[in-house]
Amino acid sequence: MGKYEDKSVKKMQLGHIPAITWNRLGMNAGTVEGDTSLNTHIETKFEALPEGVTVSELSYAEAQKWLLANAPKEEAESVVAGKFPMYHPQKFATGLGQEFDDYLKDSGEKIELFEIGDGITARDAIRWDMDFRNKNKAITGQLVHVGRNSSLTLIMSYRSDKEAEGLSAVSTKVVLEEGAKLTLVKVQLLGGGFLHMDDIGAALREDASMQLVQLELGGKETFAGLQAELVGRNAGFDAKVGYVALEDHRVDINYNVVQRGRKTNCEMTFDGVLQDAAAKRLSDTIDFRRGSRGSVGHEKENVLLLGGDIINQSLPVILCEEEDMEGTHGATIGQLDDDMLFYMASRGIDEKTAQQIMVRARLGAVAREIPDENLKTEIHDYIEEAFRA
Amino acid sequence: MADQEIREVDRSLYDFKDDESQGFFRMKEGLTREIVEQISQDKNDPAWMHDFRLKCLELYNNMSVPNWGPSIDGLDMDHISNYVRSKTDMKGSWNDLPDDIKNTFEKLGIPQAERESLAGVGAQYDSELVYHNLQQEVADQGVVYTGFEDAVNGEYSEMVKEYFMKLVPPTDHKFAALHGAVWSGGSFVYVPKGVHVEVPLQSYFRLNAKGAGQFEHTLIIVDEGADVHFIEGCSAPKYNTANLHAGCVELYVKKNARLRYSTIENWSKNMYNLNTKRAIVEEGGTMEWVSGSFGSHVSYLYPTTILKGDGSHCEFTGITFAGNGQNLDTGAKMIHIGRETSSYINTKSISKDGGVSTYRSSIQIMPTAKKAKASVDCASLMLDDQSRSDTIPAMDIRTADADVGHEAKIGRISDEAVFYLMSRGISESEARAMIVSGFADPVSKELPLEYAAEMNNLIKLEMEGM
Amino acid sequence: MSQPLLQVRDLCASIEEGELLHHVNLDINAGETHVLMGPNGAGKSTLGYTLMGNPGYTVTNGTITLDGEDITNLSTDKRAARGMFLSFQNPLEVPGLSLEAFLRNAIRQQTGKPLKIFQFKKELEATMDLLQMDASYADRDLNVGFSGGEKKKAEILQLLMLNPKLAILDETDSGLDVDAVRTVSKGIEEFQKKRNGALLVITHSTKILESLHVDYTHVLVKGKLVHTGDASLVEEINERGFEQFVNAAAGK
Repeated sequence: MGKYEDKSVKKMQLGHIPAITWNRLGMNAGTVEGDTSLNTHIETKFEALPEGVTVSELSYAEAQKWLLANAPKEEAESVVAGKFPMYHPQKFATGLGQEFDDYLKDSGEKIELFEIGDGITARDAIRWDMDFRNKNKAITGQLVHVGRNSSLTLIMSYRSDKEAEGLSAVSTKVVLEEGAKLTLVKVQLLGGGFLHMDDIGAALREDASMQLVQLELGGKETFAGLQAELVGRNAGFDAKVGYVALEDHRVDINYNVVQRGRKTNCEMTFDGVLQDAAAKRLSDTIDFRRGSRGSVGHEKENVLLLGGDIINQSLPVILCEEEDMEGTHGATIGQLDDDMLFYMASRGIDEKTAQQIMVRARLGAVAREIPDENLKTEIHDYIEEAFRA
Repeated sequence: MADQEIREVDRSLYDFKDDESQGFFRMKEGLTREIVEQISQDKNDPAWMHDFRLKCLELYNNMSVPNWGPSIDGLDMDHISNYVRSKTDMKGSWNDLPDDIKNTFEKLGIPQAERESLAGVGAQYDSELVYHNLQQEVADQGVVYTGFEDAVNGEYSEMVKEYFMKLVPPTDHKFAALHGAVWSGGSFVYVPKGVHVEVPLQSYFRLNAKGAGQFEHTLIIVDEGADVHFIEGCSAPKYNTANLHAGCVELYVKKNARLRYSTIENWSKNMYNLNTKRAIVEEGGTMEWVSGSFGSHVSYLYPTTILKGDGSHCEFTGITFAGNGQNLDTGAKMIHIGRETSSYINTKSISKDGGVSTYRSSIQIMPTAKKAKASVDCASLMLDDQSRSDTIPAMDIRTADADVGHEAKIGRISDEAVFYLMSRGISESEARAMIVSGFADPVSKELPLEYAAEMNNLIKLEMEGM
Repeated sequence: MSQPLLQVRDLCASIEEGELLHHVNLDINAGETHVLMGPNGAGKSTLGYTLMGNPGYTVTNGTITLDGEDITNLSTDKRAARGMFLSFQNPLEVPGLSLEAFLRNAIRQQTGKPLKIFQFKKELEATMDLLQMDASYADRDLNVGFSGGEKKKAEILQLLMLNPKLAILDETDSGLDVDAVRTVSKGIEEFQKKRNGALLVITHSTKILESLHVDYTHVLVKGKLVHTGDASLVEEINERGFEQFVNAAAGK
């Protein structure tokens, strides 16, 4: 599996899918091409945290211990029945996988633990903006713990100058107690020379719900991963993901939702735009485990192809060992359809403009879910700029 | 639906075996150069085929088994005699066949099928083609339908040499290499330019001897503007020793030609079915697959279509029913190369009694395939919570000028639908069977009537275990 | 007088979330037509489902007797075989199963005898004609892509083909235009008058009742049968609504 280009530089393999398919398709995992060395430490200072939220620092080892103690206990499967072993089973699973965890561990960076106790509704969102300078290469890790019947919104954004290069790596691990609600927003507006790796792992207890909005709009090479474990009854996960890849940029996304509890619910939509020589891999899995009676899982992918010799790889997987469930997957990959173009033309809009309108509409629909007006405006402007003719 | 009219099929019909000690010639069990040499000698291979077999043996020994599908650990290649053949020579008429073989076929219903004015029956008993008949009217049209050994050594040997294992090269995977080394029996079909064969050509395969593998080769060339339907039916008796089937099907669809290839596979439940099927379609040609997978212990089956010519088209319709002890990994592959090529995959999977069914596919759209269109529609049905059903469809699109759609659904039989049928006096098991048959209907619709009836019977039999 | 065709005694029924029917008593004699009315959510469909034995509804108390036989614990298909029929408010779609094949199966299972195909075909044709259904519907997948009206006609077609003793019609007239109601009514009339079938009609409106002779009208409120009257009660409710019964049920 692990390929070594050079004995000293190991190429990280991220986002392994839980049930692999033909190796020759090259879709079972993503390989990081860029330089993964680090040189910057990011200081986190919050002027005002919402009431009830505390922040503390843990070492990687302490963070792992914390997770083992606090995350809902689930047997770590190493094998999907009838399939070959899953790649690197983690104690607390994430979308990018074990190699990314090791990378975080080796960095020696501290992990920030955000906690909100029981029964608290944080009125304001935690907004964490990470502004990268040219050649900054940094990694951060967070644990987010939302107490019973509490709710919290965490908005993270990464940005730099348009021409800048560098590395931004983030690991976010989430534990939601009974009835907890988390809205997690991740917006990446980095420059065209950035390697960006964004990893999420989440475990949800009974009646907990998580809404995730993730926008990957910049960067040269982007890896985004999520694993959500819907452990408790009625746990719900909703993700809206948008991405853009232009020129020779790459986007690699691996989402894996494991539905264990009864009557759990999963809704995922992915909206993307590809152009020029851009490449993208999206693997997304809905995994119904035995006992997830009455659960529902839906996934939808829309990819707008704007021209060029793009590479679009899509692997929407459904794994199922429960009878009483309902799952669907849908994908639509293509250019703007002729009817739409004709409709636009009949209103005096040319093809180029029509494309811009559609890009804005698609990504705008994802951005609309973000509970922060300033950030929405920033995203809007970023898209305008990127698709200016 | 011809539900009532269908005769009841006793499952045990398929679980008979012949007295093995008589009239059989059995090879040493492992796979060595000696064995391959002997097969080659026995077949009177021309030199090129002899060399080809040895090359394949070497490839086979150097390749590893796939790491992504169901386990084939139960398969012990060292103890499978790769080649068993009956001493019976080719026969041109039913009456000339030895009685025990005739009995076997009779139990499988072959004579009836022939009586129903079918074009030709090439039935394979063990590894040897023992029965072969082509209706005069089809031969008169210039259609060639012969046993594969005959083709290798006969009038069409040059054509065979040109096409044999070019589409499925032995380097493709370990079992393709194995096939190249030990292939035996099978069919060769050539349909000349512009010829439309009105009735389907049929061939029956079955495995009989304990521990025997079957490696039949099917090569079909449909020349420009021609049109033919080929039906492959399989059924095998039950044994405890692992059985291996690694056949190979190569289909060439020329310009504006059309080929429909239908299979209802019902191997016994100890079979390892590692079959490789591939088609290449030239400009304006059409390839249609209809595939039903009901039997075998483990299956790896993904008929592949290379849409090479501009405007070529492929449709794949498939159903997989995995019951107790079965792990059936099936699907299709589409490779779009030509401009304005189009493909459509429509599959149904059913899992029951601990069975595992996996729908696995890949759609590849190459940069040259401008204006290509592909769509996939797959539905899975879970009949209990002891079974498993996975859907793993890959799409790899390398031009922006393409249009790809994918829909997958998984679910169960709705309680409400069962109640609705029961409120009209239908028993619960019957109601469930009717809903499952309905689920499979898009596939049976694609089959000739008697095959559709057979398939519905198979579904009924599988459902009865509830 | 002989025993009633259907006798419901002290019936309580629950779903996972709680009890929906409370101590319902109801007698229906052969050939009688009963109308069941009640506000939304009163449990009218629940009563239909419970009588027909939907496994989603558990009988926690009481008995259902058909023709003197206790059928409380009988499976749905056996109730159908003994002459009960339920017309669904939202008939289910069964892809791949044609209406005709379905009917043939159902009749064969009910009678336990091989079907006389020729006679069946003739009867099917005549009945579809009566209901102004195009003959092509026989070959179409059961309810798949049928309009609301077509689905209801298909329900009545099944009623007439299966010829039960007692038919429960659940909102058979809802969502139909005037012509469709007339056609469906014609089918029900045929069942009631020519075949002397008993009916329990769950409805909101009077349209479907115009051509039928109604013997009794029952009012169901919050899972309880609160009032029984004659045919005139239907008119009364249509003029004045359920308020008086709701208030009565609430003890006001």
